[in-house]
Amino acid sequence: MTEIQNSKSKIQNSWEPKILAFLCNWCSYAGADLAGISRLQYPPNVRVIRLPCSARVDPLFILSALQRGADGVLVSGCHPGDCHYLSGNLVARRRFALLKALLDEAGFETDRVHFSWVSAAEGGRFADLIREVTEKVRALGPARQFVKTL
Amino acid sequence: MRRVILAKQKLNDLIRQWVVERTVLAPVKQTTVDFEPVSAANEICSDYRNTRLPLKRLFFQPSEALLRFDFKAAPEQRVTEAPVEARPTVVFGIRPCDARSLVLLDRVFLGQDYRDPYYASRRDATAIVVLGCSRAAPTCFCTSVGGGPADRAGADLFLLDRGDIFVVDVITERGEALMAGLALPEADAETLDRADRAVADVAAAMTVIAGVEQLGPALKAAFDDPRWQEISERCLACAACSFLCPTCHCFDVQDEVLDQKGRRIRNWDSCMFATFTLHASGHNPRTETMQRVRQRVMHKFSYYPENFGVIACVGCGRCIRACPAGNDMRQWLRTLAEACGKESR
Amino acid sequence: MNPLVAQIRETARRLLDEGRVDVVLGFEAGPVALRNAPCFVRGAAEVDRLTWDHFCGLNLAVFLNLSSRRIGVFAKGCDSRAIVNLLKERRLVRENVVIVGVPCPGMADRGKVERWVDAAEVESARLKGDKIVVVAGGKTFEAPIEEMLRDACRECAAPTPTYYDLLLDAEPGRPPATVDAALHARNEPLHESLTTDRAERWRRFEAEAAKCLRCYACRNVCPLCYCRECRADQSDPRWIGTSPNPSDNQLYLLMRALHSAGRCVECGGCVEACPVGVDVRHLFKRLEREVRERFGYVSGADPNQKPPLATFDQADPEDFITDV
Repeated sequence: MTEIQNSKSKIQNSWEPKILAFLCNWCSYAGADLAGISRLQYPPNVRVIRLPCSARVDPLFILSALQRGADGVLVSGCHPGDCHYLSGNLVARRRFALLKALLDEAGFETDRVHFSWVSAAEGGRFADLIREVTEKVRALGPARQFVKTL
Repeated sequence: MRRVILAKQKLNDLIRQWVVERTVLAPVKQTTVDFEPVSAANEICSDYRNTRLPLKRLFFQPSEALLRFDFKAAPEQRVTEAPVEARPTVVFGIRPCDARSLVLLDRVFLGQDYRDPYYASRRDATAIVVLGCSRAAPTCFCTSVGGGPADRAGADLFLLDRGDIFVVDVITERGEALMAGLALPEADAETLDRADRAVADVAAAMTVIAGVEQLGPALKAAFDDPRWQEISERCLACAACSFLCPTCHCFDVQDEVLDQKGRRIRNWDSCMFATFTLHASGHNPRTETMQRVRQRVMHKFSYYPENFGVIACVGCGRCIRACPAGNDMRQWLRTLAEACGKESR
Repeated sequence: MNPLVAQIRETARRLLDEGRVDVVLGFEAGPVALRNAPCFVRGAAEVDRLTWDHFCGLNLAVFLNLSSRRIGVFAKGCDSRAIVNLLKERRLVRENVVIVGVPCPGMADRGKVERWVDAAEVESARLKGDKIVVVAGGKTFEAPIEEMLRDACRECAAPTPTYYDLLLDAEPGRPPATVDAALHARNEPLHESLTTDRAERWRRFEAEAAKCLRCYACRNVCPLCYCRECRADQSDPRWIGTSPNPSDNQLYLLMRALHSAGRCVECGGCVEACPVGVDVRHLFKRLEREVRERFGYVSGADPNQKPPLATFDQADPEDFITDV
């Protein structure tokens, strides 16, 4: 109950989406870093968690983040073929496809969960990605599904 | 104790009277028959053996907050007890086995040294109206464990269904309070005799598993009997039996924290779970399914009787219906009685 | 009596007499109607306990996990698929198992029967030709057995096992179909989402999850759920809370579906085992369709086909990727 009331007041008090981004160290995180160094502007709604590889992302990380109040989750790794560990992102790609399908089947607002490939050289693209994801999540409002209330 | 006649058409008057200040729970048929709040007699299912779920969830909840804590709050409000709301309640139509199970749970939660406030406040606020059984279900075995279709244990009022009337035993003061304002005729001897004999016939028709009540000490001696392995061979160690059992009462206490707030929760637990006896050290004395099956049976038929003098099973048969792997407590008891050499007694 | 019963008993007797196995696993009459019990037979004298009908729904592969005994198992299509998956995951020593394939007629859904008899207490159930006759609450009910079969069985692509050591014959002379052939023979879509309305799908999932008691009957009855430490039990870190609250229940059900992706054999055992009637089989079905359509992988068909999440294809579809 408290959680829902907080959500309502969040909307009234210009609520900002809280997005958790899992970025692989070698490509996406470096790309985010490049965006920063290049002084590119993008929405400040993203909290970054750095991992060695997108394959490190267990779907439970994503579900857990949503349970604990993330309005959106982004996972970004190297482009297929460029994985620092050769095939991490390729194995992960299958896993992510299935998670997205599962969330869809359960009636979850799948526009809250995004998967993408961003390379270390794509600072601009990273900024564009954050912009897009933030707007998509903002349009959906505060997350209500899965949210755990104590 | 007085025994009166309540015409079934009058039941609604009674319900309407109770509902004014109390929640009335009774068996209601939806996809299954389970206890739900009712406000009129015609909402009550009249044709059922037993509800799918036992009533222990009313007093001993599947998940319940015991404490709440908030580290952002003022020091004296950091830890608060979770309030227990206990609205006066009448449970109507509970079967003798399930009512008896409440008496068994009372010995655990309302013990001499400690009264569980969460259980107690709800239990104290609840009146129990038992409906004796007109037929046994195929899985019933109450008469093998000290109960029966006419068992009055735990009842404030005890009803026998006699077609267009109920014979009502007004047993406790709380039962008297429930009947206040209704002038009901005392039952005549012939009606009582027929009612009592009918329910005695139900009991007599049930197969009794020999030797169950004497199993307690013998099971201890048979601790290493290979038949434990035999009976647990097809157990999958889930908790379907424990959670549907009216007397199973194990619980687990968890602290759940999100950010700076949290609560301490008590959840149903089951000795059938592989992690039930997992120690913080990593040692687990009951890794094998057989050990856990043995523990569950012995808790109900040996340890609990040793501590409290009664078997912690009421023979409702829900475990048998629920088990996905076809396990049958009656068969287990027969096998074990044989192992202990008790079956000939 | 079903003609397969005689074949089952005879095969069991032979396997035991010849010493090919130490124990034979099949079904015997159970303690409650509609649900037969798994039966371990160790001597030829006991083979007459074995039976076969529409009440043999339990997936027997659940008892084979890491078994060190030499065991002969009477396997329906789904049991056989589960065994194939267990072999892939090295949970079975192939030489220790004799798979006796039994053509499956489809298994009864107890929940369906209970709704059919309007929640009356089922006292007995038997088959009369192609009808099921149930006595419940003192009344007798009769209906075509087809109507009382599990949804999983009605949608089963391969009720006759395609992986076995021996195959019992319901109709002598008819060759068994391969799983792929069976799949193509069915023109109906093998899965459709419950509804195109997302909010409605969510409401239904939420309602199912709210019923869950976290007894884990669904997990424990599944032959493919065998982790020594299940994520649901893991306490460090505690990914999924143990309380039966809506959020943790939802996570548990989603997690189990995801961990079964590409491994589930769609036997419907989880739905049958649930003591409170939770049915989220559509989640598992959706994932099996995704795995089939995206990765060309059929669960339980070919022991040599690599599990889909243990491999990849450079050309795997990227339709779900957010591109800018």
